[in-house]
Amino acid sequence: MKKNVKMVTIETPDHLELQFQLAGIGVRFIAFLIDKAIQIGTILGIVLFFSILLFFTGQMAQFVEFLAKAKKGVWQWLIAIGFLFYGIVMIGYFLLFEYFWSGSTPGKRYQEIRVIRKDARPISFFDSAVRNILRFVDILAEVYPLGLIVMFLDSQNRRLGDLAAGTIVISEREARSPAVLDVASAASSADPELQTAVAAMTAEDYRIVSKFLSRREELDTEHRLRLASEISKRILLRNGQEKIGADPEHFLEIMETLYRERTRIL
Amino acid sequence: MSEENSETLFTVIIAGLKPGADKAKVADGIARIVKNLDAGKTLKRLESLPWTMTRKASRKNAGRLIKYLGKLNCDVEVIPPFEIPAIADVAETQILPGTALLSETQIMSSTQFMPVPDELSKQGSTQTSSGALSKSGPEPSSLDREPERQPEDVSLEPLTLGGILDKTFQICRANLWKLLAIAAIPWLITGLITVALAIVVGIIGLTVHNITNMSITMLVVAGVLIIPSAIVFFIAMFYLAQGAMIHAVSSTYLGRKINIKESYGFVFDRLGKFVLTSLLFTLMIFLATAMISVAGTGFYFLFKIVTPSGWWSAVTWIPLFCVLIYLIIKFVLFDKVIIIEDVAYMGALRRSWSLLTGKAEGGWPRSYWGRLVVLLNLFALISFTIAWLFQMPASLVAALFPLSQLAKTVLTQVLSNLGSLFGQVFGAVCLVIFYYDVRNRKEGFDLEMLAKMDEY
Repeated sequence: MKKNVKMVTIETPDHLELQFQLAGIGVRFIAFLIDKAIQIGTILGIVLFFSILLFFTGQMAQFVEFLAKAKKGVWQWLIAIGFLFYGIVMIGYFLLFEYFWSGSTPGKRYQEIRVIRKDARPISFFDSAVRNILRFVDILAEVYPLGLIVMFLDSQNRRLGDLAAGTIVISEREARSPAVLDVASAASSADPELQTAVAAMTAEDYRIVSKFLSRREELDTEHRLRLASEISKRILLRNGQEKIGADPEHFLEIMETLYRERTRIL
Repeated sequence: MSEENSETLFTVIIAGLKPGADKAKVADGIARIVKNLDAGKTLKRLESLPWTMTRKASRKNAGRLIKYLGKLNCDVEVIPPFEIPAIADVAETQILPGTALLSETQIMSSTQFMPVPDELSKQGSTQTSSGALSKSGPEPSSLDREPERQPEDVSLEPLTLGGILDKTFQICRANLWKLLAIAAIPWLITGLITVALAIVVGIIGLTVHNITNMSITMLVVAGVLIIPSAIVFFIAMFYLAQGAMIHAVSSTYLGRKINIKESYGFVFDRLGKFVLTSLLFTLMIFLATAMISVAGTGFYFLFKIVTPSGWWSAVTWIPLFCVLIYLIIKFVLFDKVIIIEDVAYMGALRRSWSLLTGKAEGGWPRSYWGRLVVLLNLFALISFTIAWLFQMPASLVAALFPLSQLAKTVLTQVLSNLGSLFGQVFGAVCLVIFYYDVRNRKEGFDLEMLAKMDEY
């Protein structure tokens, strides 16, 4: 298995090379916090549900009386059941979600990450059990101290549970495609100046143009105008032209469409 | 980063065939150097030129390939331009340079910058204003079988909050010792000075000059001179360290190497501005606190008139407190503005305010201010974990081993300071990345850098 900081290449038994982007510690941390919030919400929800149930069935007074009069042994049982319930929710949540959701949990899904085996196969129930039982070691005092330090030291961001189960967490975030524009009219397609300009465009130019167009709504006006001019200038300079039109943004829209069309033709 | 990692990669395209070229011979020649491609398939492929032969050739291999294909009577094009003048070639062949070199996904993928060695930047790419940056080479091919080189990934593009934390961990991991050294220098110097002063005052003062016999006036004068000087010195040291940290993180974010001496030297020139702007910031926050206190007191008397007790006004204190927090957070980026943009005083505060105004696309929360609040909370959680990592062993040792009170105190203090140091480094990195993220989103800083790059 070749590896570097961000990407991991896995060679399958039939010599196929699969490349994955490793999930970072930050993304995993946020996924964990989301899952934790859901778990705590679930526990509180269950407690609240039973309280409401007892209240509406008129059993609340008897239940409180039972607790008040309960002997030490009963209390110990209750505490043990409480711990068991907490453990089931804490481990069971991860175990079941990861097994049935192909290595994902709600938190992981929100962050677009997933657990897989280090040979790129989906994790089994056993893998999930091992990595989640060891979570209790990683997560000492609920602050993830060991997990954090092990992930920080491991080049593949694996915590103890991952190391023991032979799993890695990968990112499934795909590059967002910029909104496809279609502004080039028949007239502009036939314009020889525009055709010359687009002929001189490189893939890197196209990448800048498409990124600009997809992100322009987020840019503030001043920078949006300036960037449009600079990028237009960059493209025009390839043909030795320096004069930028009145609406560089529109020019870029046309360039984007024409370049895409020409690429498709070729 | 090693020079090996930063080599520019070239795309070699067969743009056409020269007049009189024998297609069969060309196909045969190409089939000899391309794996899994026989002459028949090559001949078929030659019918639909241009043909991208490789997208990841080293300069040496690209040169060899151009020469070889030239001998076969092929019109060859190379990107970035390499000996063949790009414009002339484009005009002559009417082939789009770079067209169809990248797959749709690759085109949509993140903007990558790859630092290039000087000699390459002279030949092909130029250095940008913010450092030795160059665009990445073209995409991989099946032809070029050189071992894969993994350049240090210097990706400048909008990040999610998780992405900011990821990047923070990445930078901390790659430069941990240097960043820790930058943060630790003022602690070490102040520690050394404290020890030296203790020795001077304790040994020389008590034995040689007998400090106890000094007049009150002399002691007051000494105090007036020494204490403010020491305070100013310590403040300057810590500002230097903070500024050096910002500069170092900024450098590494932009793909340069961290140099401790250079970082401190860089900040030294801006120290005056930095300290004065920080004082201005403190003053503004102090004024805001005073105004909010006055408003709170006013509400107390107002509530006393309309309700049985003035303490009902406490309900207004929470929003007032929130206003104060809002103001403080709005100015949080001023130190990055001073160090990175060299804008100081009110300009830096205004800039921080304007950077944190507006909404980001996608993700939650959308406002820049809200994003910073969430990030600071996440940072607080991680800092707590880091502190716990250092304090827990100290507590365990103190509990399990029969140590003297002094030893326990020293151990706890040392480990606690170490934890703070790690937290300080993490926080500084995190906020610098956030600062750049805001600039990428609002100002298209990454696009600006790319657009300024000249490929000729």
